[in-house]
Order: sequence, then structure tokens, then C-alpha cells
Amino acid sequence: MSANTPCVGVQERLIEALLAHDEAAAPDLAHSESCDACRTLRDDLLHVRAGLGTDAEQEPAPAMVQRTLLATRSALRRRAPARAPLPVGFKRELARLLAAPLAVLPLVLLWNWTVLAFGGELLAAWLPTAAIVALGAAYALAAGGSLAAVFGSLPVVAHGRTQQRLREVTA
Amino acid sequence: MDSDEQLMIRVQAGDEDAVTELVTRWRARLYGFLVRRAPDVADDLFQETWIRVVRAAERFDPSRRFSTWLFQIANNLCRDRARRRAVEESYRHSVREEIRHDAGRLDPPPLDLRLDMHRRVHALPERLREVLLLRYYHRLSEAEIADTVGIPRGTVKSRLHHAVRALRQQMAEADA
Repeated sequence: MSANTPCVGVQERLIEALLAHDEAAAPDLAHSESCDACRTLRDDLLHVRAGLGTDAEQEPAPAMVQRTLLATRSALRRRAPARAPLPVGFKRELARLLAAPLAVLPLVLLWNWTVLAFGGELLAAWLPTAAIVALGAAYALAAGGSLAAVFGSLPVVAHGRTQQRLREVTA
Repeated sequence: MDSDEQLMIRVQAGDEDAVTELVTRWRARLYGFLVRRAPDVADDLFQETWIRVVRAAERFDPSRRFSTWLFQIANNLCRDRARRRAVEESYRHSVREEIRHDAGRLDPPPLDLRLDMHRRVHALPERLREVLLLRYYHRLSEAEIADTVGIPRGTVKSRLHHAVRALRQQMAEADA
């Protein structure tokens, strides 16, 4: 048998069938009838399968199960009092949500600084200084408030999405 | 009825009944795995696995399958135990060699060449045995085994084939 013969594939599939508790495919069985190496493997695998059996389960002694239950309950009680844990996946979701706003944040800051710096000079011809300062302060407050609202809402959105995902996968 | 993952969420909240339910559900499958994986310490590892499950409950990700996580914990404990044993065995071996050198009369025990299948599986190298048990007896997919054991999926496949061929080889040698 060389790597170029169909035997390589047939033998792999015979082993896959054993591992999956399936019967070998008809074409592979037909091939193994006419090929000494594959027939030998097929017969050997039948012995292996018979020897392995299929029963994965084995009952532990009831006394041991009881001891285990006592030990786990005790471990559960000894655990540090649970502070409300963040749901699994929260940090990943938050990082995902933060990526885009953080990427454009420098541009937003630059834009706002430009507006405040040059807007004041442009308005100086028409408005008194006090009015320009008031306008500038209002603009800065509005811009800062918007940024705070956007970034402040992200953890809430991330938490909600993570909880929703957990509910879906465990439903 | 709650799924295993829902029960783990309850365990995270400290619910003792949820632990009891999980142990009851998984006791026979977990013990069956441990008996084949590490027969002489299966009882100890059974209890240790569940204690680890409780202690690490907060790290459980309910979007993953509980069975994969459970077998991962059990398998890691088996590996730790095997590593410890290898160190102890190495020490014992060096002591035996010393005694043999001194007395020249310590023969190794005769090796039983006609091992039954259970012992043949146990005689497989650790890396082959763990994937074979998870795939054949516990019917985990190759992807789940890769996740459980922490190796690439391609490696799982090659180890599985290697394990089957090794068993076949052992049987052929025993029959010869």
C-alpha cells in the first residue's frame, strides 16, 4: 500500500467508523473484501471494538457520592460571598463596543477643539466677549455631555447584550 | 428541567440543590471516565473534580457545554496525578537501581503479555488514552476534545488514529 492507493482513505474511514460507533461505509467494506491490508485492519478493528465495549458509564459507590455531595456543599458555603459577578463575556462585549468610539475619539476631540478655538475668533466681530464665552462653555458642555452619554451607556448596553446572549444559549 | 448550563448558573449563585442535581446527573459518566483514565485513584479524583467544579463555578462560561468543562477539569486532574506519579516513580526507580546495584538481586516483576482490553487501554501513553476515552466512550466531538485537552483539532485526529492502531498492534502482539 502506498500513499497513492485508496487504502489510506479507506483505512482512515474504517478507524473513524470504529471511533464513532458507526458501521463502515459499504464502498469501504467492498474495498476491504478485495484488499488484504484493509481486510486485516477491518477484522482487527472488529476485535478492538468488541474488546472496548461501549459502556461509558460506571456507578460510583453511593457512599462516595454522599461524601462528594457533602464536600461540594461545604466548598460552596466556604466560597467567598458572591459579589454580583459580571456575566461571562461582558468584558469582551464591552471591548467590542468600545472599539469604534475609541477609534474616532481623537477626531471628535480635534474637531471640538477646532470649533472652540476658531469659532471664538470668527464670532468676535459680531458678539461681545461675554456672549462668546457663554456660547463656548455651552458648546463644551454639550460636547462633553454627548461623549459621556455615549461612553457611559456602553457598559449598560454590553451588560444587556451579554445577559441576552446567556439567556439564549442556556434556554 | 434545567439544562446543565442553567444549573451551573444556579451554582454560581450558591444554590446547593443545583450542585446535587449536577452530581446526580453526571456521576456515572464522570466515574466511568475516571475509572478508565486513572483506575487506582478514580475515587479521589471523582470527589476532587466536583470540588473544583464548585470552586471554579464563577469562571464557567454558560455559552460552553458543561460536559466539555467537566471533562476538562477531570482530565487535568488526571494529568496532574500522572505527572506526580511519574516523579515518584522516577524516585522509586532510582532507589531500586541503587538497591539492585548494592545487592544485585532485585528482579523486575514478570510482565503479563496477555493484557485484557481495559489494561491495554490503560497501557496506552497518556496523550493517546485521554483522547480515545473522550471520543470513544464519551462521544465528544473532535472539536470538543480539542477544547477539553487543549490541543489542535488535527492533533486530536492523529492521536485518535494512533491510539486505535496502537491497540490493534498490542492485540496482534498478544495473539502472536
